[in-house]
Amino acid sequence: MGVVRREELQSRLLKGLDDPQSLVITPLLDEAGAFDSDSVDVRLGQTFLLPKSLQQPYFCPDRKSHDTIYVELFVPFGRYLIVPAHQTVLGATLEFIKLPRDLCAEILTKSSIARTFVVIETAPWVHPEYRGCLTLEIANVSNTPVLLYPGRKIGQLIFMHLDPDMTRPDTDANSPRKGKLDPTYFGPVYPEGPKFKDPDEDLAQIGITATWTIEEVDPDSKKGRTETSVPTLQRGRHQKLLEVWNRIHGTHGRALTEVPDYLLSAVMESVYVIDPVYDSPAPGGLVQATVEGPNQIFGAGALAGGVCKKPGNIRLNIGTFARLGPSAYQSIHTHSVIGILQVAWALWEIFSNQTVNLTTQQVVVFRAMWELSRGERALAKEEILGRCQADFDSQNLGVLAAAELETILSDLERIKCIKPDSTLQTWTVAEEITYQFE
Amino acid sequence: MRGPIDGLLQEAASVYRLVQFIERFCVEQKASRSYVPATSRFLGMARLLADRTKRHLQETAAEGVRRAAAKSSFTDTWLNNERDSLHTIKCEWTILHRYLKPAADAHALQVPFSLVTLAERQLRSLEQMGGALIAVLVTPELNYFQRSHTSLKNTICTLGEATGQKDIPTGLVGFVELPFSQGPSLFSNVLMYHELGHFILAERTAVAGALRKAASDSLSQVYGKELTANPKSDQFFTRMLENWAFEIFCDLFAIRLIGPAFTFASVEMFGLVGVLAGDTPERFVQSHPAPACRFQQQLAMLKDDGWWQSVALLDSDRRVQIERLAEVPKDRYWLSLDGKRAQRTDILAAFDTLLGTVWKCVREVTNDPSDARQCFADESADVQACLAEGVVPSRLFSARPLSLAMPVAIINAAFCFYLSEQLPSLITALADQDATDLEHRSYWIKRLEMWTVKAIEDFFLLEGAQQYGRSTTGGTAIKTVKGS
Repeated sequence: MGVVRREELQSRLLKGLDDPQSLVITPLLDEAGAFDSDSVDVRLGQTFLLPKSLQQPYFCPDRKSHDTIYVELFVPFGRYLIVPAHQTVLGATLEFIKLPRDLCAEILTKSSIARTFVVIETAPWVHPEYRGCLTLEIANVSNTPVLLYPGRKIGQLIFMHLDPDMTRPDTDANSPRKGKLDPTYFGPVYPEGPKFKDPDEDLAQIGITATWTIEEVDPDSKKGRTETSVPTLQRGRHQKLLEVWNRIHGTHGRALTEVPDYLLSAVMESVYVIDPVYDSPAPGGLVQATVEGPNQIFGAGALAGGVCKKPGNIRLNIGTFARLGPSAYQSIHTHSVIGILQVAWALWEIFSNQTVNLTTQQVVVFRAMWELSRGERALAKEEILGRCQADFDSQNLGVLAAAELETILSDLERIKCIKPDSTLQTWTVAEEITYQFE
Repeated sequence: MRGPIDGLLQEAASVYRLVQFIERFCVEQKASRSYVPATSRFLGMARLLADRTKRHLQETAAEGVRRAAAKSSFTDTWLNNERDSLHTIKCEWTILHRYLKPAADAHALQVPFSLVTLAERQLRSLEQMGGALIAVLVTPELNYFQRSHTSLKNTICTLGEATGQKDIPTGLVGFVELPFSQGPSLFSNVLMYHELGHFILAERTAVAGALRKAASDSLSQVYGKELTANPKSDQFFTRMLENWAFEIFCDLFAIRLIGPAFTFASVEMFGLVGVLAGDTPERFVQSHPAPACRFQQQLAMLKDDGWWQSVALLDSDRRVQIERLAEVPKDRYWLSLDGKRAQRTDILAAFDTLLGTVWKCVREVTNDPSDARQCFADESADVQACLAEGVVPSRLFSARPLSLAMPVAIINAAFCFYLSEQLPSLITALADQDATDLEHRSYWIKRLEMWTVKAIEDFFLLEGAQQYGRSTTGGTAIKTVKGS
């Protein structure tokens, strides 16, 4: 691999695009001054991407990242950009380059610039066939602010020959990319942020797949217990939970495991579930699941939000969980002592919640109320009564009398599952629920 | 005890605060963003006006207090004069207020900077338009507009006079409004050339006058004596004919400056806003001639200037659509008045007779586009070959003298690339990209526009370097190698 000399570079610049040796560097504003015997000087373009403060205290390299971490800035020729001490910015070369298949290149900070403690490259390698302006990761590592002038020389490109064996086109007939160019960084003319896939997607390519194991017992199957892994490639917790839901209700044509709608809704709306295990075909028999809440915020460790053990015991404190997320984040962010105490209190509340046993009638009424209102609207007694009748029939609980409903509502209210309005005529499902499912 | 001076001070303070807010806004915007020169100048001028207005208000208040103390000179006449003056200042700032936010929003990343620079350069090459500038505003409408420079100039002058300043520089500035959604996009923003036509009409009053006279004459010819029978109706129809003549003038003006790219952009935009469906293409409305008529005129001009011959073989639905629209027989044109179909073929006939004058005026105010057309004919294939490789086509600028014809040729060649099968071919040549996926297609159209815009930017840089005496791509250094 030898460095390409000026004469060869200039000769390649003259070749037509259809020539495999053609090299493009445009515009070359001062040819006489641009070429050294073994390099070409490049200038700074007018557009910059400035990193911005993020709402969360970290940066996650995923699909959304390049839209969220930069502010674009245009600095016309004749003006300058001030890069504060120890700050970074993305810029681009003014020159658009296209490398042939047999050359690669390296961009280096121009030595005069480097001596001001400004570096322009942390990923200096340019692959064969690359085309575009080069994005520069400009860092001012000095102790003083530095002015950057678009149009001034900032770096130098050194070209190198590739081993002839490496320059043969991709001839693998089975390759879906055969003879095709990689579009990832194809043809940018302004600086561009990184393009990431989601971490799960990247890791899946090397066989690391985060999954939930779902153990199922199919009474009709002779295999008995089956175990299925659900990959977690979906991008949000809701999708993940939906996938579980589909597994339960869709794949087998009928529900092997009954998960009450209202509980699933509660889980999906408020907390993050990992490792759910479904191991009972009995109606209502559900789950072994870890409910991950605070440990998402404080890091993995002992602070699991709650552990739900089969068969059918589930303990959630939805409102506390929902509030805990933002308040905990805020506390960390602001180092607020009061905030941290509030978070600690919330955690204590979660751990100290006592489960309460409900009667079947109470369960049916509560479930009906949840399904009707989703916690968002008040329900009148008549409405609840109408909705519950069918459930009572189907559960062989007989007829639900208005007086009996009154008592059930009063019981649910006492254990804070529901809240009455001031006139005691309508009820809403309580935000905080401590509930044990039998 | 409150007296008349308190009322005056109160009123002056409220205007002062308004102006102070606006001034601060202009300072903040200018400090944090970059603008095309005219917009920057406009914001700067608003700041200057604000500064002077504030000073004037301070002086008025001080004078009022002095007179109130002296009592004898604090007369009703003085007070009324000052109140009138305050009222004028308030009104004029209200007008400016409307312009400033759209101007501030039109920062360099939000507008086609290099296209504006090109248009500005082209404008300045026209007779009586030397020194013209284009200020860009963004509008929430999905349409392009030209704001009357004259009325804004009047506002500034009135404000200058009201605040006792007579040296506010206004210059020759065209205010063009672009839809915010089009941002820095190149292809659709070519439509701003039409608005520059309106700017020309506003500045070159003799041309506008000639068109007005032609409108009136053509109506007389068709109507004969009837013309004077109902002056109100005559005035209405004359005005309508003027509108149509102006619109056709602006279309043809744009064609002369930017070539078929304007027609391609028009057909895209008309399709987007839904005026090419059903019988709407044949419909004349009070403000605009029928789209079919406009395309008929545009195509005729493109053929006359020799452009169309170069794109006649373009394999694109858009080209076919333009030709089909241009071929709509004139007897299918219809006039819609107050939302109803009006049986006024006579008006349409009158319009037909004034088209000759429109053409004459367009040719009078524009330069011969044959350089650009020839450059397009010569370089289009090479430009498209560059784009097909994902390469900025500025490398084509050879050692020959650079002229404004080159960016025009590049824009047209890029437009042809975009409309033809070449864009899907480029997409298909890339791994994991699908030309039928709209997300992918949209991404590569944006890339195509970026390459084209970069080529125009490079053109201006190379031109500057050439004028400064530096060699450019394909220039001396390379020639030496070639010679050796």
